[in-house]
Amino acid sequence: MLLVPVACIDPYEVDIEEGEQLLTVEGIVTTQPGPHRIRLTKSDTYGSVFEGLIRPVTGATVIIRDDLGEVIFLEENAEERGAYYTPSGFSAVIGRSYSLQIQTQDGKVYTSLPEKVEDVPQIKDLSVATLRIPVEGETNDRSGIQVIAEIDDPVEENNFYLWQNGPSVYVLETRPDLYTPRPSDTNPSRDPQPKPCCITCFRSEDIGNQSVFIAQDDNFNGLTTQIPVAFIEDDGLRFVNTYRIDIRQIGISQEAYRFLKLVKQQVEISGSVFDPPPATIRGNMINLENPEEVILGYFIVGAEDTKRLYIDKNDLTFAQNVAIIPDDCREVEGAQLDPPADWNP
Amino acid sequence: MRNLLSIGIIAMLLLGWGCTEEEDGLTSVATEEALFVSGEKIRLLGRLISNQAMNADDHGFYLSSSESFTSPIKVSLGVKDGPGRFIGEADGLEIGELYFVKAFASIGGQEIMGEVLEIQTLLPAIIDFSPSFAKAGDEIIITGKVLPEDTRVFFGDQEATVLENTFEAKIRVRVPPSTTEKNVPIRVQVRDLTLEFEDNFEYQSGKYFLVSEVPGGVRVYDNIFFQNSEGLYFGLGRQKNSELYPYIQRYSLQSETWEQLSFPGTLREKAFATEHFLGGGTIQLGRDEFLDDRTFWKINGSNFEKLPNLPFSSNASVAFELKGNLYLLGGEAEMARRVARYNPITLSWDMLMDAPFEISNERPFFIYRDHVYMIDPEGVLWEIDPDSNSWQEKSFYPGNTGSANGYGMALVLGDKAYVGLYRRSQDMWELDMNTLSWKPKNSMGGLPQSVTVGHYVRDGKIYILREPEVQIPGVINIEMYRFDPDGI
Repeated sequence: MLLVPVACIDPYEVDIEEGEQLLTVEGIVTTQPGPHRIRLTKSDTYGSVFEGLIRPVTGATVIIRDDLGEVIFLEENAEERGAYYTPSGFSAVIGRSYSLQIQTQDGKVYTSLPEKVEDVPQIKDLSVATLRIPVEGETNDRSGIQVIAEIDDPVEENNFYLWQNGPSVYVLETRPDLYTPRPSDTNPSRDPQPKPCCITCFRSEDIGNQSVFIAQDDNFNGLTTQIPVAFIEDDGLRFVNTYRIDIRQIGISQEAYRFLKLVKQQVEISGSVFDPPPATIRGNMINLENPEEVILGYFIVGAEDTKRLYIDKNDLTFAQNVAIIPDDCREVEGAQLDPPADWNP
Repeated sequence: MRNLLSIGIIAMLLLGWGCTEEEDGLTSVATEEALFVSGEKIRLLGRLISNQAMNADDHGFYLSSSESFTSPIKVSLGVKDGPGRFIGEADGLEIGELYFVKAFASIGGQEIMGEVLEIQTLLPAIIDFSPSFAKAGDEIIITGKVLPEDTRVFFGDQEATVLENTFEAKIRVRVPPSTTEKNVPIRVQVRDLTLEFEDNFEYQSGKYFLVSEVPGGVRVYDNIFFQNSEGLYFGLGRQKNSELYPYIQRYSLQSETWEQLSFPGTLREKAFATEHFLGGGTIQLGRDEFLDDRTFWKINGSNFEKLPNLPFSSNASVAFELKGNLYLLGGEAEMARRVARYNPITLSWDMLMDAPFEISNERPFFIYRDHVYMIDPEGVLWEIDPDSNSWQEKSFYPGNTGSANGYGMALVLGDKAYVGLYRRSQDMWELDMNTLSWKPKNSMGGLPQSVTVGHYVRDGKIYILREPEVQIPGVINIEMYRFDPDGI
């Protein structure tokens, strides 16, 4: 009788607060001609699994205002909800300060702190190094190309850098001779049915950034230096022939650098005891009615220099096994037969 | 003694340790940033910083145009519970003025100040307005910067109603009625500062003055009209009661009177007439039974001299004189694409290459610099040189050319052509012959079911004969209007 009540277990109900949906602002406006994109989303609860969806904030009125009072109206892209674009002719001006202002459909007004456009030196040169990354439990290493920029840092000012990948194009090689269609009622055969065309295409992709590439010139002020600015993973397709990428170098404010440094620390958490604790990183956006509201993201402005880099397969000291696509190369998303008009390796 | 000294030292140490010093909390105020600066408004961000829970009786900002903050503007935000950011806004400031601002918090009767920031209010500027051409009552957008809510807009001396001011950058206004001027400057007034655009705004213009009414209640259809030095003529054709009209009416601009002239030939409808020639047409004998009239006449002032008959029938043809020759284009049925040229010196007719589309006198046309311009049923403006058989599409008439319409008018005044007033249409358009751009003119007004039965240019002025359609009952005279394209 004594053991019976001991065996009863009362489930412990844990009251976990609902994850707050926070406005998230992502956008970089530079001195390059537009259109520049500002993306507005609402965050959602995150746990062991995603419990909600990251929803775009649509129907907002979004403007950028400079310190002389000139206003640029952004328009939401009908096919990319929550993405607001400046007019194509708009580019930021070095020395000017810009504020982002957002009025959401529910009447809330948000503004950024003014961000000044800082100048940026040119990318003097771009070089590449092959990087191998051992993967625990795998026999094959991951690998890819690390892009290294050489810059002459100006001595007279404190500079903060952000690098981003621009659009890229590479020569895609496939094997249409190995094409084997999926059996169907009309074509039940499981034999290869080679296609006469096409082996070589040019595939465009926007690979984004796998990490945050930033730097400040505390250690190299006024010196020529080389800094890793991008990593492009070898997926067995990209470096079979020639790969082209545009590297964007953006001069950002000290505050933007601090923000991105914190973001970098958070995204590069490896699970060790030395990792910084996860925390909400405040950006430069403020709710005019409630200045204490937490808004994620940062409105970044800066001068931009872009340099184009062609990477030949022979530039790699280690390459992944070539991935085989047994089909017409034109069937691959983003691939086309003709090279871009400005293809000049 | 030694024991006493030891006890004394220990006692002193214990005494020191026992004293706990109460440390006051640290509280400060920061004037962080100007979030928004306009011509007369500033939005400021401040922060109350403290290492402990505290309340402020009041907090906010001070603004002053003097560094010593004499007679400051106080932006009071009231009680604040605990530290944190706060935003304050001041308006009614002077434009283009330097202000000194600082945040404050009042805690326990003591005011704590933040550091002083210098902020210059901005100067308004205007950039553009669009459209640059509209009519009274339309809306236009003025773009600029630092244009506050109380910005006023004037078209000439007339103040416009401001409908919307978006972010001090876009002002939507309703165009006020104009007094007399077609082109007026747009002035934007911000407080005592007046800004004016370099380019004028253009009002949609066009005014119709009733000049005269044709006496006797006559209404004719499928008639002829022409003009010469003696006056403006219309006549023949079919009357409202289906009888053929036997006269030609002449209007004298000098005496402003109508005179009824007899025509020596047979009566007819759908004939053609130019300044010097008249002919063709048809007579309806019975149901679907017509007799074409091939008689051909030369017009000498108000007299008519018979010429050899036309070698072909001509019903509802377009007729014009060009480089001394008479041209007949199109007509009804099988004549629709025919192009004929008459040489008054050799008295001979030539048949030229056919037209690329069917033509009748329903099609408005005009002559400019020895070229004929005609609008086809689809609204395409053709430039025609019949001698070289050159037919080129030049523009597109933006008005209505629906199938029920036709009978539009077209005339040239200087480098502008005026096209419109199709049947049941009151629209008029101006075509700039240098740029081939179209601009709407004010509508004619009056009875919508009207048709144009004559149009003339004399002494730089356009005259239009307009009458109700045949099915409109009642005694309604044909009216003659003078059209002033620039009239407001």
